[in-house]
Amino acid sequence: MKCAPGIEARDVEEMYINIDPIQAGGRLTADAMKAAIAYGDGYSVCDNCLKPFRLDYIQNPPIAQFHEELAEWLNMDTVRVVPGARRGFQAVASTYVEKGDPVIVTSLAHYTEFMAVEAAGGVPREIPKDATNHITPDAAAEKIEAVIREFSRTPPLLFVDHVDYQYGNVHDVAGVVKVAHQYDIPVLVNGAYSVGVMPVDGKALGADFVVGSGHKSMAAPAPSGLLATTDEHAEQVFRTTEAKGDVTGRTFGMKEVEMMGCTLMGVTVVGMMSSFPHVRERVRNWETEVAHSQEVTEALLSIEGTKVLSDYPRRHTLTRVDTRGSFDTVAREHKKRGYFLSSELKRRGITGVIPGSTRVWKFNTFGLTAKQIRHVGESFVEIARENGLNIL
Amino acid sequence: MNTCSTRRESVWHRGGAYNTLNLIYPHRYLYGDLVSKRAVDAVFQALFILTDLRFLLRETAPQHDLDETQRKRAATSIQKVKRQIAIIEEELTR
Repeated sequence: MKCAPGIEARDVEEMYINIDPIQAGGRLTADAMKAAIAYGDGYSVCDNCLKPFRLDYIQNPPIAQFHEELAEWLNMDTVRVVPGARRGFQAVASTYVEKGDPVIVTSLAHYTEFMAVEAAGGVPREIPKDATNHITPDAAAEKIEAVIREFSRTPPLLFVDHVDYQYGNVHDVAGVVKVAHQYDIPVLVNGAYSVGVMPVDGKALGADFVVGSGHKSMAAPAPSGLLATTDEHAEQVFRTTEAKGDVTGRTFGMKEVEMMGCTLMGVTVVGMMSSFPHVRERVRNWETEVAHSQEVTEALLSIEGTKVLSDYPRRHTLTRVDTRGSFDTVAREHKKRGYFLSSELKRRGITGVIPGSTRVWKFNTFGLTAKQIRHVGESFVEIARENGLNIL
Repeated sequence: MNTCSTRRESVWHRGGAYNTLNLIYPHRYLYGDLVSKRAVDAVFQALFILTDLRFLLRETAPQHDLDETQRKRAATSIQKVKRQIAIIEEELTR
């Protein structure tokens, strides 16, 4: 069925259990889908935009109130919605990083953190991960020292991922922040895989900035996200324009430079807002989500030769597995080669594993019902058994 | 400058005409009774109820093997949609 000429209607979520690693937390809630119907038009939230003509001041729909609630929920002082976490990284890097400045990221950092540093003219330097795929405060301290020696100056910014995208491991962000602050380095916490799915307390982490992704973890349409900060940094990162046209003499009120004025002017912000009550509720059920993740991981581990590369027991719903000793041995002989696994999963109504992957791959169980979790776990075991693998 | 606000004012004050901001129903003055609010509400309501059904399909994917509670939810939603369709029919086709 087509929803527009040449565009198939997307029914993946209705027809399958989707365990795609990046899509799970961004699936809309029913309320967000209804809001998308009502607010699909371009500048739809601008109907009642009054002076001072800025998104975070709009009262109807209650965008101003939403900003306040977001800040309170994250235990930060100020929040702006942004078009994706990457734009949050970019705003902060653009504010603090000068050309040639070293900026500390981690060896598990998302590529968009590198891009934000590069766009600002900075030079990224990575904190190495340890043998357990963790970023430790000690490693952060060593890297900071090394970078100061190399550049003869202190990095103006450090990025750390609360939960990394490669392993879904939860890192000791509070410890890293504590170390960075001893060198007066502000820290941006990338919460793309935590804000909206699990409890996040910005002040408890000691974060100077918390960035979240609406479309990755807050059940919101893309591109959406948030940038939260403290009073100490808000004036700098959310500074207002001082530009003036030399011909027209125009000035631009209190538009914020790094936000490029207004950010999410339609379905994205209203989608975020509509999902927010549900998001607030669902982070309280995080332990259930982790238990579901553990259940599927245990099912996979019951297949001889399978390894879990993420922390085990699981502490997050995003998991990286190594099936070179199990499903990949089947792929070598199977007529569909590596495609047999995704094909067998699809036959059972499960999608989201990259077609052809039987070696090292990721999945995310966030948001599935207990019944769906059971079906996923049983399906993996059944596929293994049918293809001659041993079940432990 | 806010484009939305500017556009609204320029329409309402076109050619120095009557300032419709003083009216209780400015849309009716400008456009007459072409718009049936009841029909518009029913269309939205129907879409929202269908969205609830869409999410029931998501929740029960892939088998869509509904339990008793879910079947009741589906039946209630279908009845509600029918009511909204009846309103739309009444407003737009009779």
